[in-house]
Amino acid sequence: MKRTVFIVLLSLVIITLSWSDPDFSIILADLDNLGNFDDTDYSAVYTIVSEKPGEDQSIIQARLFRRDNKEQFVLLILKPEVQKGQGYLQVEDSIWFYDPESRKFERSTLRENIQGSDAQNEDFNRNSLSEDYEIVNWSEGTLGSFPVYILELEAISRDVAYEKVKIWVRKDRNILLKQEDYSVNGRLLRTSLIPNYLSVGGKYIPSRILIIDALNEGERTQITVSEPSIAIIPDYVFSKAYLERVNN
Amino acid sequence: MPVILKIAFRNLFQHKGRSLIIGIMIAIGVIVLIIGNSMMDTAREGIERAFINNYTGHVFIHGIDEDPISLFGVQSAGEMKDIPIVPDYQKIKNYLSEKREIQGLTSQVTGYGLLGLGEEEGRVITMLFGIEPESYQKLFENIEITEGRYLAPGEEGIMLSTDRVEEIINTIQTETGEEETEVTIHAGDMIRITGMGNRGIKIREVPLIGTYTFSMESEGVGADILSFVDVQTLRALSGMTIGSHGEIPLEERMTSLLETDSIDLDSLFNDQSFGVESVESAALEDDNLDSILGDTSIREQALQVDSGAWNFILLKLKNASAADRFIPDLNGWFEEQGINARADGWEAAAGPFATSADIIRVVFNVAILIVGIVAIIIMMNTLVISIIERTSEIGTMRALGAQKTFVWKMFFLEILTITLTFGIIGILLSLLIIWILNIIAIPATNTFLRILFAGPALQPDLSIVSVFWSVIVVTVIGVIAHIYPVTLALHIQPIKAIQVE
Repeated sequence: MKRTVFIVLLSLVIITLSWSDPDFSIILADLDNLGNFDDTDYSAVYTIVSEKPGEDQSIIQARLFRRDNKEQFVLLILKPEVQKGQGYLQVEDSIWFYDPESRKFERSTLRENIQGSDAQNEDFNRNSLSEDYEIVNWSEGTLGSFPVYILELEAISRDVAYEKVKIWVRKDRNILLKQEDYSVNGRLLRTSLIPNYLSVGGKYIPSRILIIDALNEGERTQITVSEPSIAIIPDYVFSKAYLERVNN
Repeated sequence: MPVILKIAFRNLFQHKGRSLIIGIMIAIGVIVLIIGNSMMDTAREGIERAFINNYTGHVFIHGIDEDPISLFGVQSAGEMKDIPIVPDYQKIKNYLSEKREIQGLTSQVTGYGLLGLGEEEGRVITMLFGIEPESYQKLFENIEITEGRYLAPGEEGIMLSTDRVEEIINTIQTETGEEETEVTIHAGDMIRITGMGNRGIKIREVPLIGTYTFSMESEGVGADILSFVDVQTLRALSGMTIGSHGEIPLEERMTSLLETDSIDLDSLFNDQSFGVESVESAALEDDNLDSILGDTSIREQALQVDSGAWNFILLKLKNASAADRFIPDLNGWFEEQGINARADGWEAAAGPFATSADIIRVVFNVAILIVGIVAIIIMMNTLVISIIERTSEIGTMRALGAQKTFVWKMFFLEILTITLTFGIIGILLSLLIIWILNIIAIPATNTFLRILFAGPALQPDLSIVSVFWSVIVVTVIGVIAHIYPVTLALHIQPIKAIQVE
């Protein structure tokens, strides 16, 4: 009898545990951890192709250098020629834009679009969903053929580009497939789709991202990552002096 | 004097009280119409003068875009569009130089930017007008230098409105949190301009040549946010360079997501298409990092400013009213020559600012119209009642053998006498009120009133046209207002009309 009661109770506990909500804060932390290079440096070439109705495609190629454990990044534009040498630098809490024509720096922000595309500085920086947002709602669904958790997040940090974010995360493995960015009043601003990842040194980098501008119909940007590297980057790269020197 | 006129005058004097009430109503109607119209005309002319003399001229020529273009750029929702370059610029200028109607012309480039001092201080938004100083100064004489001097031809520099200078100082003080900190900006100081065009961020530091205000009242026309900069600097800031973006070789996978118009999530996110590809880390060599940009000489060539590029040609005509004919003629010539340009008037050039001034004016006009209609209704009502009261009198006259036409003429003369007499009194009173308003000069205490008053104070000019029209309007109203009650009275049998109390 005692044994039967024990089995019933154990079954109830197991059922209850299996019914409880997944721990989404762990999922967010996993997403950050998977894309952040806290033990190594990270570098890659990013190709940003933007389309606007009635205009030619705009193409920018840039080399990204990231040192996540010090929150440093440098994005150096390689092409086109007229923008070659322009760069963004994050040191400590400041983000700077460098204009090689005038050889001057100007303060920038995470929200700033990269030279007319739908890509923003924040898209190239380290992931910090778990630090910057709290989960306000969640649901389950499917995206394509993948079962996903759909998490609605609201900013708890002021240093974010978007106040509200909705993310689609694969249920079977913590990978971000889709993200919608909203304004404070809930207006959809842009949608990002990530159908491909690269794995380098155990970390996952979105290798192809499609960003759809929700405000301007027909405006889309594809970001493609190539030549990823986790080799050590010299300290001098993360400095204003490097952006100046490389343009000499 | 004909008998009928005598009777009409006698009637008016016999019913002094009634005649006076009708007369006062007519005089008030005339005053409302004249003063209202004078204020509307003053506001309209003031706004037009301010725009034309400050920065639009009578005609502006621009390239073509699907969205409306003003001197402030392409008015497009949600995005900043490039302002088209005036095509066949030299050909257009040559054609215009033969036109005798033109008093003068200048060319302009427009851009947006942030103003500040040095790397971190300030950052105040401004509308940048890149100008040819000589022709611009000749065409727009309203710029009054308060410190320094006007830009010289070929000189690199900027002229800031006193408003922008104050704004930069306030911003720096707010940013530093020390409002007591003394911040000064004077001619000769270096001003940093950060261009915010579609070509991305561009930075320039140029000397402040002078500060200015507009000698003509410019409130509400957006003149405060303007900064005048040498055109080469603005071209560089706006990315008006000779170099194109050039061909950048792309792999198929770098554009494959852009190839279909509609996104098929099923095809993007399934086991076949979705994937995580493991790759080896690429090597980074120190030497490569310093020469990562390769040869930058092509960049230097590509970044050379296109000295022939202009966004607008602005012109003033010797006779402003000729614009209505000149603009369509010019557009006809563009079409004939296959030039993808267009000419428009000052209202299109002023764009969003003319629209906001227009809205305020329309609201004001509607208010005046409502007051006018109310005055007219009261006038008509008073007239109708006064004639209905005289139904028994009409009956008596008819019983004594007066013909219908006689009665008609009598009332017509009565009403004409009243409207003309009190109409003239109304005109005189309007003149007096406008004269007093001009002496008192009620100050415009906010932007709304400054736009409405077309200046810093309410000083309306008498509208001669409105004097003429107001007398006609009240006379017509008087005549119309008496038709119905007199017709009614004449339809009643004389014996019954006499019995009416």
